[in-house]
Amino acid sequence: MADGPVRITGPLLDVLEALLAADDYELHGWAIMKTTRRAGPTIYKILERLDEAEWLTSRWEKEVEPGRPRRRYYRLSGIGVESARRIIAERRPVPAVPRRHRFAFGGWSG
Amino acid sequence: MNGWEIAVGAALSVFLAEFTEICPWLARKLVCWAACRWADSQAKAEQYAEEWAAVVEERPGKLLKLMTAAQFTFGATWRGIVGRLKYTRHPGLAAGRLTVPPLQRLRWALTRTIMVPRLVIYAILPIGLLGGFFLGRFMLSHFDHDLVIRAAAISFGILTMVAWRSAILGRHTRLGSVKIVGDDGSDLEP
Repeated sequence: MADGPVRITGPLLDVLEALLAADDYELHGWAIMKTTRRAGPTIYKILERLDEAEWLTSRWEKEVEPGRPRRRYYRLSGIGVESARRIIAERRPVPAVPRRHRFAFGGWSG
Repeated sequence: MNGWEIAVGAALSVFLAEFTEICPWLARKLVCWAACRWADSQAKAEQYAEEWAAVVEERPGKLLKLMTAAQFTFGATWRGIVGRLKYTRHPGLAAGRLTVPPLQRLRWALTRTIMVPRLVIYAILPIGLLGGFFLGRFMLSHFDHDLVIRAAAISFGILTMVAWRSAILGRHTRLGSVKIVGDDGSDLEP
């Protein structure tokens, strides 16, 4: 059984929030950086810690355009989803990672 | 505008245009270098090199690609330095069997992390000599004692070269005059 990441920090909570909010709890490195607005090295240090704690699984992108390097996708594992939800509920009841709001064109319906 | 200004302006614009063109290539090289510093195994380094190249590729604009790669480079360098400083807190050091001054530890960490090829370092060394030469010329034009000043300038140049070499490479071993060894005499440097 994995013990989980020892230190719970702000960036770690951001990454967990981003992954929990993603489809199928899966995002690639750049998407995590973009969502959390954190620098690459910060994100990859956290991903390593989560990986060591077995909260994450990762895989390479399957279909790649020729000449473009492959992305690596990170997905929360079963235990990762449970633990992440618990930690986020404890530490950050109000989400800090900015959600994207899109304006819908058209008139008011109400 | 005179002819020189036009020439400098043209050269600068050509340089900037060329520089922005090579930014993506430079970014790929940088992330490869950073991945090697970041990872503790060859397989991991290859994985990060490709993954970070993909991250860099996502960035719009050539300069932004380079800036993202620079972020990874600084992160990896910092991690390497901190990691190696932690390593120097070896049980042998903690037990007081070996004493290594903090500055030497830092130098050790820097040399092992940055890993500048020796050729580059020796290419930098003549700067010290040139510094001495120009200092000598300056002093000769202001003072009378030719021979003394020439000798002082050459000494300054040589000392600068020695200081450079000592600062970057270390004097006897990578730890200066101290080598970390285990109880059985084995080399404990990473």
